[in-house]
Amino acid sequence: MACTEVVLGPLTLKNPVMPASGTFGYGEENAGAFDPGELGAVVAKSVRLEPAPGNPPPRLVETPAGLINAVGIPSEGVDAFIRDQMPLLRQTGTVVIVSIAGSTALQYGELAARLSDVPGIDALELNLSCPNIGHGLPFGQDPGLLAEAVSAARGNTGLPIIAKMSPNVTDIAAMSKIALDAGADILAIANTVNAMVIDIWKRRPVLGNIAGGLSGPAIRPVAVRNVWRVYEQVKAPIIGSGGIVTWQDAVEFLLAGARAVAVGVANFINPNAMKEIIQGIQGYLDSQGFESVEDIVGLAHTIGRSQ
Amino acid sequence: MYLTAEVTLQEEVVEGIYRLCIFTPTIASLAYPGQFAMIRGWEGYDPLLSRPLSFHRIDFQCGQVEFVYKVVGRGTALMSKWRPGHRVAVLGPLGNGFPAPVAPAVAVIGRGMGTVPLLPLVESARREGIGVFSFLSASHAGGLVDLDRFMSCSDQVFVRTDDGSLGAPGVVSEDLERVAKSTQLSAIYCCGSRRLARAARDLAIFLRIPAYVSLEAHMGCGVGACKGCVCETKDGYSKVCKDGPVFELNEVVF
Repeated sequence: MACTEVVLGPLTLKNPVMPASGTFGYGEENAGAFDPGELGAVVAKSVRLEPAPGNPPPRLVETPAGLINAVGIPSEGVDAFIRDQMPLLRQTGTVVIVSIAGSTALQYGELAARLSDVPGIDALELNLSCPNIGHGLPFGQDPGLLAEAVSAARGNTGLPIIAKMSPNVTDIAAMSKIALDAGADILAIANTVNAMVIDIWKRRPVLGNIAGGLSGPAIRPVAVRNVWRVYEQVKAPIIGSGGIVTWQDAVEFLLAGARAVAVGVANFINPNAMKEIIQGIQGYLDSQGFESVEDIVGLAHTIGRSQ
Repeated sequence: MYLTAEVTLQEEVVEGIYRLCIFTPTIASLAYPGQFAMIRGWEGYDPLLSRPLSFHRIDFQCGQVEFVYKVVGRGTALMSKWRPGHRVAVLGPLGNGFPAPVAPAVAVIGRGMGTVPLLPLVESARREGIGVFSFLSASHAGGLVDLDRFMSCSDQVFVRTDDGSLGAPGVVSEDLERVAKSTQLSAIYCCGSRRLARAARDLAIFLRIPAYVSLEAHMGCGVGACKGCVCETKDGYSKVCKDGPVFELNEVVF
């Protein structure tokens, strides 16, 4: 049996599969299909400093092979999160990644400080790319704010920092370098793609927030290309995400250069999706004669060059 | 439970409205009125999301659940093509359904497709020997599915249609008010119309009895993870799939 363990800088996962933040319950929202402890990591829904209600409905609209969401990161606030959610996360028995979302760059620092000493957290993911909060650009789309937010978090924590990048930029590799220079250890490539749908009969946008973030198989080729480009340009471990539904999709991201993958909307349509992906990756490695996941990370690049 | 199951019946009840039966003893034994299931049964990922459907009948003896749905988009259009023997993926039962009916009698008030989740409640009340008064409205007679089943399980059924194709002119909320004056009701159950919901809420407050509403929403996951299907309640946004789909009527902001 091939080894499924992967090393992402300071973080070691027993397998490369984790949920994308906000798509899989580690506690009561889990549909009960399998034990979250079997995952490479669990990732909590982004937590904010203060309680926030999220966006007005409608928050979802389906598109061809895709889903646009404008949920807007509802949060119970960091205090309630530590009190109510951390015990559940600790119980999972796997790597725990807590996603944080600030309204200002300084809030990333405050959140990092609050969470640093909480037992059971293995890494912080900075949600720098939610398209659905605030009025200006997300942090991940402004080089100055991006550096400020990551630096603020880095200054207040020794935990590994994952920077979840926005795909809504001219050059995701350049933005990734900025995040790394500011202190990020790992890159999550990437968040949802800006999108909207207009109801032609009501003659107005469908979503309460007007626009949102597109996910699902519709964006997979875009995400693969982004992972490919960042892998070529930046030396940092990558968590790939964007429309991964099957193990074949996950393998494609690994070949493009991701060391791990985050599964999002697939969890909505198949509660067993991540378990099936873990098994499928294992089967692929075994049948193709690879000894470990690490053997295929970025492999499509080397083969591409040698031909 | 997440499982695959077989379609046992598909029929067009009236134009655009279909009855779908699925053989799944596990879900039939767990489900209760007001709950729902997420269902998909097409190749690939377009449509991407599963479709939430309320139980219309829960037959644990035959191991079968029944849904009634209207074709409104691509998902339900594909669904209407399923034939007996077709395999579908079912996640359920999900959500908080209707609190069990209590003697002496309950009222159900619904409009159009909103009468669908009320039928299993009416049938279970009848099985328990509890009185049932049904108040049903629709735009036209065809919009009231399985009226005969409501008839056979209710002490009295009031029907009103906008076009007058069935029942005398009038509104069912007024019928409910009239019945409530002369009959002791333990609760009111509502689905399918904001106007009826407001009327039922006000009446329930006046009578000091509980009232419940089943809400509909576009859903992502059906289990509370995506927070996509919220409605406005007195406590802020609540998840229709996980906190509902049945809410105390007084808690919902209409």
